[in-house]
Amino acid sequence: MAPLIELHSWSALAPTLILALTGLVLFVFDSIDPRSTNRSALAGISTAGALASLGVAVWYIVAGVGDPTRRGTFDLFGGQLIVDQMALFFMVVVAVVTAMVSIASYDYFLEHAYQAEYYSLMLLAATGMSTMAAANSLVTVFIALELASLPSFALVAILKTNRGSVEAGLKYFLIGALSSAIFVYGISLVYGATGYMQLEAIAQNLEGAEGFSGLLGLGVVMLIGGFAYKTASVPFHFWAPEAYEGAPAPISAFLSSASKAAGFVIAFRVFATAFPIETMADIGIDWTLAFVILAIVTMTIGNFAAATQENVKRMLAYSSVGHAGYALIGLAGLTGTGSNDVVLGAAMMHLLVYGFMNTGAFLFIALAEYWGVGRTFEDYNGLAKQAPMASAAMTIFMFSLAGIPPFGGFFSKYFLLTGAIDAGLLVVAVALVVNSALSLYYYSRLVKALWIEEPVVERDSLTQPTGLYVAIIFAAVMTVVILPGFGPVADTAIEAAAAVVP
Amino acid sequence: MATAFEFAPAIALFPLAAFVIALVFGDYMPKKGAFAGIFATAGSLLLSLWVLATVAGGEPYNEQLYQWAIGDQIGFHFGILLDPLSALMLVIVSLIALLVHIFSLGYMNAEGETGLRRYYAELGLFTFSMLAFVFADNLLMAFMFFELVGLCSYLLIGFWFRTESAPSAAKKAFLVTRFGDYFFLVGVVAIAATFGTLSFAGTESFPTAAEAAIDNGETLFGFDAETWVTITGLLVLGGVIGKSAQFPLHTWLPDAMEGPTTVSALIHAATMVAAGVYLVARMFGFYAQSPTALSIIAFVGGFTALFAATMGVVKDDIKQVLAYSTISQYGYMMLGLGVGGYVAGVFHLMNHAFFKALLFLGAGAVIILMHHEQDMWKMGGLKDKAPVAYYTFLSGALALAGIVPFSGFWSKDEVLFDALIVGLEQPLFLAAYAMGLIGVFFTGFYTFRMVFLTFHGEPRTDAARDPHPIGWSVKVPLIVLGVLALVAGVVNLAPIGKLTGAEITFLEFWLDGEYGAIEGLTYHAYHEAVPFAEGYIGTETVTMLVGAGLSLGLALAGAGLAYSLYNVPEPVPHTEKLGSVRTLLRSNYYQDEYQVWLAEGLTLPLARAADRFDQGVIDGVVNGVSSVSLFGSGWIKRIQTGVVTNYAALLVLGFIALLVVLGLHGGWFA
Amino acid sequence: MNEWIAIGALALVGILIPLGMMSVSYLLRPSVPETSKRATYESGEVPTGGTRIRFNIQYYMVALLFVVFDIETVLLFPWAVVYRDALESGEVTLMQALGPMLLFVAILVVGLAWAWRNGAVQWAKSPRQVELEANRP
Repeated sequence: MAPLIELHSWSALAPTLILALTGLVLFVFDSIDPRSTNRSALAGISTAGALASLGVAVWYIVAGVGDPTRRGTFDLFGGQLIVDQMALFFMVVVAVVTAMVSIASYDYFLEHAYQAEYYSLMLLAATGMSTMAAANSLVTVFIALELASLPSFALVAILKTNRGSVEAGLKYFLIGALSSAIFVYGISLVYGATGYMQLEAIAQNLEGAEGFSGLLGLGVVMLIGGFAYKTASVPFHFWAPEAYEGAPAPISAFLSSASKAAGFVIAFRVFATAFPIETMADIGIDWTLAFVILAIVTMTIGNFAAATQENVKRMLAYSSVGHAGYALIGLAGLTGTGSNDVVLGAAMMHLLVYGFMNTGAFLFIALAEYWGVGRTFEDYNGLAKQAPMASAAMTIFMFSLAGIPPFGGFFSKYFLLTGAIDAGLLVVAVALVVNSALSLYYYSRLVKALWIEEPVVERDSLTQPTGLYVAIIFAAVMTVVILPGFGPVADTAIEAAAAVVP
Repeated sequence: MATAFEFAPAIALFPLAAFVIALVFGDYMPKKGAFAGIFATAGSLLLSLWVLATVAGGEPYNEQLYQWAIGDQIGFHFGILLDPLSALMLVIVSLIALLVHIFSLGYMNAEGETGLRRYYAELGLFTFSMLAFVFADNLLMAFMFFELVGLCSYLLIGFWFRTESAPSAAKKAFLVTRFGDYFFLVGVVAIAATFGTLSFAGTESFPTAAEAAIDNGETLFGFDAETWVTITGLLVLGGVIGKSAQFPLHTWLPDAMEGPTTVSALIHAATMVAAGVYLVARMFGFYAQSPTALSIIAFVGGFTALFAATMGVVKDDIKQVLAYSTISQYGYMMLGLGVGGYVAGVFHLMNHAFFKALLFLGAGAVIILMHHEQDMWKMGGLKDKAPVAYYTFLSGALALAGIVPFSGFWSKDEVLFDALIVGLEQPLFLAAYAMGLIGVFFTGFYTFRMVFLTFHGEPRTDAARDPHPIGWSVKVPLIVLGVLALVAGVVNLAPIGKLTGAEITFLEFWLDGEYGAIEGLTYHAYHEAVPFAEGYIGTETVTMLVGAGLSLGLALAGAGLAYSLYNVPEPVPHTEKLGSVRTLLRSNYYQDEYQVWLAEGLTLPLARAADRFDQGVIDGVVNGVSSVSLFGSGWIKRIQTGVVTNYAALLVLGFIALLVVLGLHGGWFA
Repeated sequence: MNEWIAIGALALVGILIPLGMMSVSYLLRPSVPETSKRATYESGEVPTGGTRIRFNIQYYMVALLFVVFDIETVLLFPWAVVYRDALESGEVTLMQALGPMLLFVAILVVGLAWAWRNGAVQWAKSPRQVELEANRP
């Protein structure tokens, strides 16, 4: 069947362009009416933009863009950007998280200054993340990464009168600067060894780099460092607990879900495309080993540090580090022997599900901050009596994060586990199981606080902010219904992964 | 045009919908949701009849609807198998369920019970489970709904959960049947692992696979194929013995009388207990491969038939008598199936469904009449006060006792005939036959003892002198079933057919696929597979006449003895003359006692020991792990100092460590 | 030789223009010397003393805007060089040659407009101005 309208090839980037355009529209809005406090208009514009981006991305997936057997992938600007299924998959993740965070911010930023700046920065960061999904050259990777990072620093620090927020922003910025420096140095070394920036071109010219295995290896490890920073993996994770805790909760949600997913997509693409495992192994650069180590250490440190936190937001921040470790299995499992597409697809699924459950969990924190109930587990005691709906949603998020069967989180984790076992990474599989067991402890601690414990102090009745509730309930519903819909999701993810892995 | 099969799932889904509706809206509905159940089961009945007609038109149906798990070797799915057997059973189940729902209007609603919403919801779920079990096309799906049936009967037996006995009976029913189901589950796994399929029918079915394995002389799991089939068959049989209350797992059933009588009717006639025997019939092609399994089925059946009948003789509670008669009758069905009499077994299953539902509903009517009194010695003389109840009950009793021409005679006779002809060649089976035959005498006796004590003679209490009236919702089901108990036998008048040469064994033709069936699931196919030779006394007709005469004579003798002892104005408890035998019988051969001993004397100490191990060793390890984890957590937490220069330092150190590891591994520094 | 004359002339003009401007203003301006006016001009900051002083944040703003336009120029320059050749070669249409740059400039204009409207180019207010604004109804 001939397509209804033939679109220009760069319209394949529409999900990203829509986000960028929305950001600009917000700037125009703020130029016309500076210091506007018209929250509905601002949140409305950014939500509409995110949803439009989401809709287009989903439409493209359904219409078969990126599917080699249907519309095929789109190479843009001489292969600098590529729109394939994996790009679209992560564009969906970014867009959906942006939409949820925008809706939730409507209530959260009640009576805050810098409304328009907040939304436009968020949309620009989302644009960067969306571009990261499509970036196919180290140059575009770096530009997109910086486009995502720079607004993020400002967003973390946007509560200018809150010392925690400003401190977090500054720490995030400093670690970010250091990591970016390492990353860009890594890019230059890879360029020096191979003479190319474009990923496929790098892969084709690796033979020429055989004399420079140390140089290339250093570059590759530096690239790993850059990705580890973006995905909050050990040892580049130090910013994460601080930034997530200090930032306004919707921004924590945004960073820990969308930004992390975007970090993973470039890691997936760069390593799967530019550094084919066998060729690299011949040169003596076994990068899967690095990811095996990183995965184990990251999930262990993240979960262990989360276990005894008293502050709920900080607990979630560490759990987010732990989940980065789970998703790293997607790269660690690319041994070239097992079913690579399954393990990479599993990591993609995990990031999608994570986009819902983790965003939802942070938005619940946002709700708690909105209510002003406090930060520790004790402060959350007995919330279920006053806000049963939100607490039920939070319970779903917690159990899904822990990987309890009826929820989406179980399935993605299960696929990761089987993927790890298939790839022969028994150590990783064991670490995954042990850490999941441990994570159940601290997740259920929160559930216990919500439902079982009696409140320490009497609370006034709690309001029900519409925006936050809509976002939380949506996330909860998606966490649950992703299970029956898991077949198509899994197929898409595995197909997308199969197209990327050699 | 839409075929009946497209609507087939709705047969089970209607009662499920009724369950949901009754559960959610029951309190706001007239009659607390009874009508939802009535309409749902009526709908199921109509659809079942349509399906029956379509199957009769030569169109069986075997479709896989939804595959819910796919593995490398095997996939698990839900599917529907509609062949003559399941179509017939669907009609029976939905009919009985409908009648029970209607009867409940009189028995539960009119008596002002509380918790009716729960009652009707559970009835709906019960019906749903059974219907889905019946049309299941594979063993695993059957197992799931088998369990759901067990759960529902647990809920319904314990309906009056505020009493002391009902919850205990419910627990017992659940535990005892679960014990059997445990073997069933192992059997399911074994079959799945051996043959890679759990389907009942088609070329990819496990009976076919088993047959092929035996023919090829394969060795499975270190056994030759036939032994392995026997082992797996017997494992599945564990579930059957539990559910169908066969010796030695029959002990739950008499206690289950604690549930409402309507529930007993449903459990005994069409659902829970029938499920076991139905399962044997469903996978008969599998059992037919194993003479050993068949003989065990036959012996268990024959023994249970006699064993339960003897206990029924001394009971005073009307429902207890019926309970033991149920056990006994299912014994006959097992006997019939065990000797290869597939048609006879199914025929008796059908007839029994009608007359046992009738008897239980009749007993329910009696209980209403008697202001909730169940002791037969406090009844008497109800014959004239409630003629409808009497005549319908009598019809059921005659069928149960096996008196010509009531339905029970034809089917029981066929069971015994099949046992006899097999027994004539394999003398071992003669013992099973003999037990069944003697059971007939006891059946006749206790049945009529019950009838006479209840309805005849003078009223012995005030309640019996002034019975509570019964309404139409009680009478209609009784009349429908009463007629069926009388005439249902005509579907397979084998003896008359043999005498006159007329082709009137319709059920046999039906099950033999003359009107359409699925390849391999026919009586013929089974009959060929069953490895028993058959012999006759003289000719077939003579054998048949001898067998029929014997059983009818014994039944009449039993009934006659009851007549002489109890059909007097003021009967006395003659069984007391039996002395120690009576004590033995009234104590149910001390079956409960030894099972309780098994539970308390053997299992409990074992469980305690396991618990101690669990608490001490396992939990100790777990607790140790968790405290180590928490300690480690406190330590790891401290890495995050809050000083950003420390972070930068650690970050770079971590990076260098990674670099060194990779470099050493890859040999960059060489 | 001819080319060197042109370069020499350009250098001469380059020197003459500032010199001319300075001399014209020297002739025209009134001379009221005072201390602050005699000091070396350093964008309004006191030019001597310790280096660890606080700058007005506005300096950074201006610097940022400068960098933005600098980068814009860097991109515009090569484009301008090839623009005419590209059009004359006939391989690209006007739209293809002009469109992306217009889009780029448009985005920058949006950014500039926003910065302008939000006071990025407004110099810090002196205490007197703040007072005046506060007194306004």
